[in-house]
Amino acid sequence: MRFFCATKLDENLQKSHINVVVTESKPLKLAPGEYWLEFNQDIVLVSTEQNSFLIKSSNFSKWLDLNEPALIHSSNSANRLQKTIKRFVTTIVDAKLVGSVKNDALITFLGRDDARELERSWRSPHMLPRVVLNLKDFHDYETCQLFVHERGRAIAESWTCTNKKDISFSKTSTNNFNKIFSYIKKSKSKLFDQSQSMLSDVYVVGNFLAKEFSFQNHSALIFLSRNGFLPPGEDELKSFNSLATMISPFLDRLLTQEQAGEKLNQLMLLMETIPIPLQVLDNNEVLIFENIAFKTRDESIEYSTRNIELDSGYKLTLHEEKVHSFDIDHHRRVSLLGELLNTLQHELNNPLFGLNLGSLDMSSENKGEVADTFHDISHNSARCQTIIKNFSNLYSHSKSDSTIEIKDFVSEIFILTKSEIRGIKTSISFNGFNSIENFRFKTNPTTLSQVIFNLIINAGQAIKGQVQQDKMKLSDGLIRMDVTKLENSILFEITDNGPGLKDEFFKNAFKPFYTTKSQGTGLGLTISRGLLESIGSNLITKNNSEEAGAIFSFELPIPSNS
Amino acid sequence: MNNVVITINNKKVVDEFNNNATVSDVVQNILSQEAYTDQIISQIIVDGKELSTQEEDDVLPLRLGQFENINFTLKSNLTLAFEALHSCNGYIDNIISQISALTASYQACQTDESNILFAEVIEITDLYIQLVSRIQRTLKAHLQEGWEKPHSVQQLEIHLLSILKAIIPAKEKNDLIMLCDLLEYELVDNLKQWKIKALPDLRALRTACDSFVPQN
Repeated sequence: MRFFCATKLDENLQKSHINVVVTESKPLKLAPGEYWLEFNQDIVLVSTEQNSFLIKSSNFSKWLDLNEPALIHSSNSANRLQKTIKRFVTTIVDAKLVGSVKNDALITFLGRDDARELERSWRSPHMLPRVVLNLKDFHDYETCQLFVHERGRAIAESWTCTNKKDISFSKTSTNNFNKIFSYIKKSKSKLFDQSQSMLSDVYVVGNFLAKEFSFQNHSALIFLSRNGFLPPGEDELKSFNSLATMISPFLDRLLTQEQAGEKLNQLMLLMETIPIPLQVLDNNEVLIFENIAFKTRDESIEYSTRNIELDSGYKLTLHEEKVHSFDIDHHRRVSLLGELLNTLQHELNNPLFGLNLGSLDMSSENKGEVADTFHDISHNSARCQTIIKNFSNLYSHSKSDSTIEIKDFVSEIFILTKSEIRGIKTSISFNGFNSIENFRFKTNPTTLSQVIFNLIINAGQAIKGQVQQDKMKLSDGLIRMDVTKLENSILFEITDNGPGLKDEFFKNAFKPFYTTKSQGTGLGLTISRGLLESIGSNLITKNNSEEAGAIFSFELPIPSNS
Repeated sequence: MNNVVITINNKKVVDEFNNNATVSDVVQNILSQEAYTDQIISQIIVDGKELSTQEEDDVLPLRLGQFENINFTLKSNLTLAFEALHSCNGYIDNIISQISALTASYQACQTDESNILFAEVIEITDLYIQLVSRIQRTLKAHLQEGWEKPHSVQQLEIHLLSILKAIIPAKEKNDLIMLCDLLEYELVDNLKQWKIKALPDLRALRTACDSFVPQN
């Protein structure tokens, strides 16, 4: 076993039975037993000559231990499954096409030897040009080209054989293929020359023979030419047309088989590399296939299994990772608070509305200090309504995006955190907004407000922790929020002057249930990071280099339509 | 009145013809009685004068009594094919000279004249291709299974056809640089190669043709 990668393997990963070669780029060719590794944060991409797959870094060591036997086993079981499916597909295709191939007619037309040779050598559709050039009737022809277009695809493929030997492959657009197809189909004489400019992708020159085929799933064209001055004779035209008629069902069958084969290969690759652990068992419960994700799965994680009965009697078992309990906790907490706040909003809104309206009336009916007092009551009751509404929004499940006005938005969140950060100084600054107008952009306001809310509460708790330990006064505490407009994004930074972050924190910050606080759940940052990822951002933590404290920041891309 | 002397390839014909018979009657008689199936009358000389095609048509309805002697030249398709091979060089010289005029015209931005010259180049090249095709067909018919196209001919045919194929999009897009490049270098070079290699290789088949005895 031999591994190639751009950097040295970590000592923990280095095993005695593997040989690691450090090289800048992936080797052009990998022999069996050779692998190319690419490390990307907590994921390793392992490539072989045929395919590639992903493994979590934490599972890589385990994979190395299992590697060779596991891969061999995988290959064997995959082969077994592939063979079984292939047999199944071939049976269907054969059953569908049996009787449609006029073997007798072909033997009569070509002669027994040529007919046998055709059957023997024509195993794949793209071999047809060579097969035709080797037939006696067309022995002095130089070039044969086959175009195949699978319905629904944007390109048509072509195989050209010259001198009865080499076959070259090329592609053309469906549009051009259709033009050529139509031109060939409409011709009455079926004798063509190179004068049409649409024929630039047709690699025959001079005069040539051509025939179009229209099948259920494919369209095809075949061209035959001497590549010389002499045009084909009448007899050759007749022979060619007869041949085309006879090989038509063969071609249809091979194309259908190849299409089924391609789908099969794609299915096998998908099963092999899909990051969901899965197994296939036969009807006697004998294991015939398990994919890489299954072999390298993290056994410390709890999985739930789901069985799918396949028509062929096989059973597909999917091992799905159970939803993390902290996600459920968060979900439950948000749901519960949401319900509570809805009730609160409903119960308080009516009296607050009455209070607001009544005090407004009283304010207009009175003058001086009394009027001012009623006006304050009206203003503050309206503010109470807004706060309750914002709290309800904070704990809603809304997943839809809407346009927010950034200054108002951030200020409102600070109001919601007031009880938790009472006594601590706060400052909010907006940088880079080139207009005094409130900057508007589109995002998921619920998610964004939950993250900012969490980070401000976190900062407040960190400062309070210092105060409790008599390391600082509460009035010296400061939470600063900087919102900076960059070229294509907005940078949010929440800075506190608390104790800052220890090295251990950086390793474990985003692990569920890790906390530095005695009363903490250890879920705040994990949830915040998850929420940010859901809106295309990432949470960055660092210590404040200028003074004590920590900085939590994230960048939110500005959607182009904002 | 003396009887007219009829000769075929300068040899006197045994049959006596009545002076009232026409030249056309003699031609019919020669083609049915004297000529082989692959032979045609390629030339008529009346009283020592070689007739042009138009003059031949004029002479056919006239009576023999008006003439003293008429010589008919019979030639086989094969002989004519090899004679035509010699005229191929003339075609090539003509095309090359027209290409030279065409590229000069393009450089002088004479659009109308260029278009006329371009059409002429393509037309003469097409005639040349037809001529070579007919020569090959005649050789192939004569040699039957023994016919094998010389490699140089095959290569130059593909090359010439490929050039003509590439000329179509260049002309359609009015890509004059590509067009002049294809004409001045590719096509001229190809035609010169015909003179150097392919035509001599075709002429060399004369020996094979002379020694070939058809099976049928």
